[in-house]
Amino acid sequence: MKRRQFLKSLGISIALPAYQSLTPKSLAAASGAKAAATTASGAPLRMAYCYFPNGVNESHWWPKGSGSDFTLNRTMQPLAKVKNQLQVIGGLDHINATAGKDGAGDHARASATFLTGERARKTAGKDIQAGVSIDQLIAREIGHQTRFPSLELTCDTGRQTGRCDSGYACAYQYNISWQSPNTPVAPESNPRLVFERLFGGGPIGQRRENLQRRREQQRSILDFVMEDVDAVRRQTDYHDSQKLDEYLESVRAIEKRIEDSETDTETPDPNVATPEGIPESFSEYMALMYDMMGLAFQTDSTRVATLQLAHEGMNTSYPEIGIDEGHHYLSHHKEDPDKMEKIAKIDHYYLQQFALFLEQLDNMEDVDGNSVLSNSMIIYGCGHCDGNRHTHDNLPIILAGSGGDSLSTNRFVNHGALPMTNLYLGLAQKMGLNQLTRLGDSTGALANV
Amino acid sequence: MGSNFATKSRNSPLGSINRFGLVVSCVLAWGSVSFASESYFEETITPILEDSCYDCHDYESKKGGFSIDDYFTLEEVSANKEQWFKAFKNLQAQVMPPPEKEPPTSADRQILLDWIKKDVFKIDPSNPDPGSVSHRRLNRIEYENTLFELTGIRIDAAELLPADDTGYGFDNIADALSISPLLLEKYIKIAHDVIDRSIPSEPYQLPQSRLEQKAFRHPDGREAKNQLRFRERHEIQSEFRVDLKGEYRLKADFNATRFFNFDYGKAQLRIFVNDDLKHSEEVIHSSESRRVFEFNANLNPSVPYRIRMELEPKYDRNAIESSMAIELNSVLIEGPLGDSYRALKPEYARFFPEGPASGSKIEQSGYAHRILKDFASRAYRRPPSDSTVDRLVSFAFESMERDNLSFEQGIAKSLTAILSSPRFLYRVEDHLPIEPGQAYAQIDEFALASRLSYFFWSNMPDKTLLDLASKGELRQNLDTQVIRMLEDKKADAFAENFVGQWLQSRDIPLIGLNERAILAGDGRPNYRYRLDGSVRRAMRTETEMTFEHILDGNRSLLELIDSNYTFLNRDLAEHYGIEGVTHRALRKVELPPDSYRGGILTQATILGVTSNPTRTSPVKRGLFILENILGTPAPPAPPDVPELEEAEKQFADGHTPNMRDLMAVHREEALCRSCHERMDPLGLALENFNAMGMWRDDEAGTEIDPSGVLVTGERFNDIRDLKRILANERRLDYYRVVSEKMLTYAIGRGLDYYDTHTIDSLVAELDSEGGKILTLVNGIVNAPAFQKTRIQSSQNFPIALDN
Repeated sequence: MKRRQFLKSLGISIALPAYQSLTPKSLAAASGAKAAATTASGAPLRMAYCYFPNGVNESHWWPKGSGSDFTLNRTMQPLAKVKNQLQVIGGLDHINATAGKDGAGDHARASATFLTGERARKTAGKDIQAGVSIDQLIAREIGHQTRFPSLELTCDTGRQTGRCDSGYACAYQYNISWQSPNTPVAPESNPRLVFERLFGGGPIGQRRENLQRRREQQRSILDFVMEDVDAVRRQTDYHDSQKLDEYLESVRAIEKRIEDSETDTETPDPNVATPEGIPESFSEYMALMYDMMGLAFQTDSTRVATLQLAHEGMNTSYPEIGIDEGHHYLSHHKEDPDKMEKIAKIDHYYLQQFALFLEQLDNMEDVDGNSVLSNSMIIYGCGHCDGNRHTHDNLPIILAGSGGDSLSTNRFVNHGALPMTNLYLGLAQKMGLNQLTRLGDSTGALANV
Repeated sequence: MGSNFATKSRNSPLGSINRFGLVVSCVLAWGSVSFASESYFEETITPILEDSCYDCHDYESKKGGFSIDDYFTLEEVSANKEQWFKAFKNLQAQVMPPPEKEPPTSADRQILLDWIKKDVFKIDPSNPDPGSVSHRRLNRIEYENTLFELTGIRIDAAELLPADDTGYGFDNIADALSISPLLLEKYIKIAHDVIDRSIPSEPYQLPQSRLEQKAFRHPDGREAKNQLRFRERHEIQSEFRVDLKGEYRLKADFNATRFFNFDYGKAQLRIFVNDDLKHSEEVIHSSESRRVFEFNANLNPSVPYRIRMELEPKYDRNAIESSMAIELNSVLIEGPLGDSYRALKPEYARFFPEGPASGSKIEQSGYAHRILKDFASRAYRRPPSDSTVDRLVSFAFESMERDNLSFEQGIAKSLTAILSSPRFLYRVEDHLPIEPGQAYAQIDEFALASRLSYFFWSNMPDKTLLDLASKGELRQNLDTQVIRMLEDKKADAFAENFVGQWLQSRDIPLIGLNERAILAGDGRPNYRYRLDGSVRRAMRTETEMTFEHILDGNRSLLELIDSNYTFLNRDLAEHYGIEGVTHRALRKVELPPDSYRGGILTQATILGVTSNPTRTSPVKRGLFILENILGTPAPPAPPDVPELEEAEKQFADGHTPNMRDLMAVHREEALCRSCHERMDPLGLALENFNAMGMWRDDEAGTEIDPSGVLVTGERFNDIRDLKRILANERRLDYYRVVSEKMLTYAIGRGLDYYDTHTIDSLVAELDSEGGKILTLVNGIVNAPAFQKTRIQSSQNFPIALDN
């Protein structure tokens, strides 16, 4: 199988030309004042957020025991090999995902609130508003250090037509990253295009040149269209200019990246074949997207990433594991043991791929000799706990990686009832955003991580 | 008057009688509101509100968070248009007052509705607010179509671009279509790739003709097989002629196919012209799927030639089984060879109609100007200003000089810039001049041309539309243009994208439906059935053709709900259990008088997309009809949907509750009732159709009872009754929904309170014309929302400009 080969070469035998050139830059950064998104040992520190939909079967999710004295429950068995590199977190809530005065629409809110902590405005299209997501806030601060400020990925290609959840615009359900409160960041779903964007298209050895050419093309075009924006703005000055602003911000973001890349020593050209596209099997699809994220982290192409494994409320089935019914349908199991068992099976299925990803990161040696996993903070979670009752408290959260030896791993900790955003703040500070003191409903940075 | 609201809510919040009895005159308090409105409010409106609404919407009860007491003054009423818009919709759909309360007379209801429109919304029927649409980014489909129109190259936008966010049920809503650095990068890359592919580096080519696969036959005259499998010997041939004497190059273009990753099959391919062997090659397994075999031949005009190909298996067919095959695409005949025969390539002429550039720099610059102006006019869908064209020309020449590019490559640079510009990616609209003080202006005719073409074609305006717009004659020819556009093949996009999203038929090819589990649930665990791609495509086509049939014949939209025909082919008829259909293409089929089919509600598209992967969902189906056929507004949903298991406990006597039992209990919960009373009867009426839309009399042995009562009171025995009710008693609700959906799709924004009058007019016209679809289409393209735009003062938008 092509993908398995890909994984293998990625995890074990990778010899990146850029790998060496990274070292001085990162270590140099560490010699002075500690740079943002850098571990104490001078290696890059990465932050990722992986979203899965529809809550979990709690009885098989939560570990037994507490603190460092805990055993993984059935659903989390796939994580056994990396158990000492992660913490299972309970007791974090998203109050702004609850109904409040907004009524139905828990799925839209669960995803819109997940990284923003804000209450999404209930609208089917006009004046969409969530909040700037934490990944984008981090990218704004530290994004200039890497070739890409952030990476937004999804394994969700199917987009049902028609309305979305109970009067909420679809944007809330299909995006978890928001660059402004009104503009989501559409994630990339095609692994081939992710790869080509990161490293350039074409065969090994020619990618760097291709990427360079692409940048040149972009640069001249951007200069040109920038003037067009002004002209259009003048022509239509009676008009709301938000769409033009969005366009202009995109122009500037690309320009900035091109500028930054000029000082970049060399773009890595991974010694692996470009992925072909979207695999038919969903587990392979997830694995391939995780690979892309892993590759981006390993090559220090970015330090912030989001991955939406599937959209909230997704109702497709999982033939690979013999689940015929739709996921969303099953999540409203009404305590039916048969359906609950299937939910547990789905939870396990998702975690299997996440576990493989973590194992891979654990096998990647970073510039400081530690593993890439060790120098990462990877959140895996959902904006629902019990999908049956649409609860948004005690969210199922796993935090993997030790953030460059700055996190207390290998434990199961329940925080009682604190905002989920407190965890984000705590981690953002480790990424160097010390001045960020509030996000959505946060009440302070979570200390005990 | 008027202060009665104030009096009550401020001074006696707990009181409930004589609320409207106390009348204190305080005209001054109304501010700008005319005395006429005020007295009308007092004398006519207040008593109706008191009779029909005040039981629940007083200060104390404040049901649904709405208390009439919150509104002291008419000014305050008017200030909270959002709230009164909800009230308006509920009144109009007759879901308020709720069934257990005394409804207002229909005359009173109309009085209230008219009052809300006139005095609360302040709609001027002679000059309604057209609203304003943000710059609309082309969605994936529009982008793909427009690029194709401009360059002749079709990309697969669904693969290259992220899915568009939808709003109000459609993917062409300006507010929901955002852009990000990632997306802009992709646009630039696609622009570059497409221009790269569409501009040939070599302007000339030899004359070419092509023999398609269809032209080939067996020597005995039988039609040639598409696939030439290596298991047997094949011989195919075709005749051809040339016009000129000379040497020609022939290229036989094949696709090689195989099932196995490796295959030992091999075969000798021999190509003859007449009886001369021209090419012979052993074909074996390779990772390349495309195989092109080339050879030259001297040919004369006026003599027919025969090209013949033999494929001879060359492996031991007893020892191994080969899956290999080759398929002929075509044979290209190029020539006569020689420079003197070369001519401008058609794809080159598309961009460089005057051939390669020559002459002085000034002449070249003039040529570049003509090329770029023409392309930009089409790509921007309006003529660019001279300064824009000048910029494009300098950009081309700067690129040529800086990067030492050819004239073509320099032009290509500018074309790429055009396709990356906001003027291409967004639909930038302009308006006609207005008198000072006016708040609304007509959009200009270029904007109108784009609104029309993206509405009907999901594509850019064609030459006819742009020409009319540039002469300022589009508006006066609107009716004939609408007819012309709808007759064009490109109007297939209207059914695909409008109906495809309104009725969700676009989803059926991909939706997860588990045949085995669905049939097992029906009580047919041993029935083997596969819902393959061709049946699913037939389903989608059935819905689209039903709409197109109505559109083509200007028939009544009611036929979408209830009709004695549908569009079937053999497979779909079999799926539905309808006998006597043998054709493979979908065609109109008359249904027997007692048939349950006919109309979209009994089509597999809707029945399938509203189901779960393993079973039907009466709730989803009911909700679908409420939202897409009846337009009943959703009541405020309960914060936590209570558990159905509470309901299940009541069946502890051991009998397994069926769907209807469970939902009946569910409805007894007051909290659930308000919603489920509306949805359930509609969904349950469709229970005779399983999740794939196949007919069933019972669900695993339990007989299905499709009868019910609508929340508006009408009773029905089965889906046939329900369809009749929808198409008769509830037809105005349905007209309203179709009008709202189509207007939303046409103008790319959600509808607001100020659109209510437009919708009311569309509905009234539709009804007076018996539901004829063109009445609606024409009504929409003539509506202020389509023809005009709101003008905001530019002072609200500070602009920093340095040039």
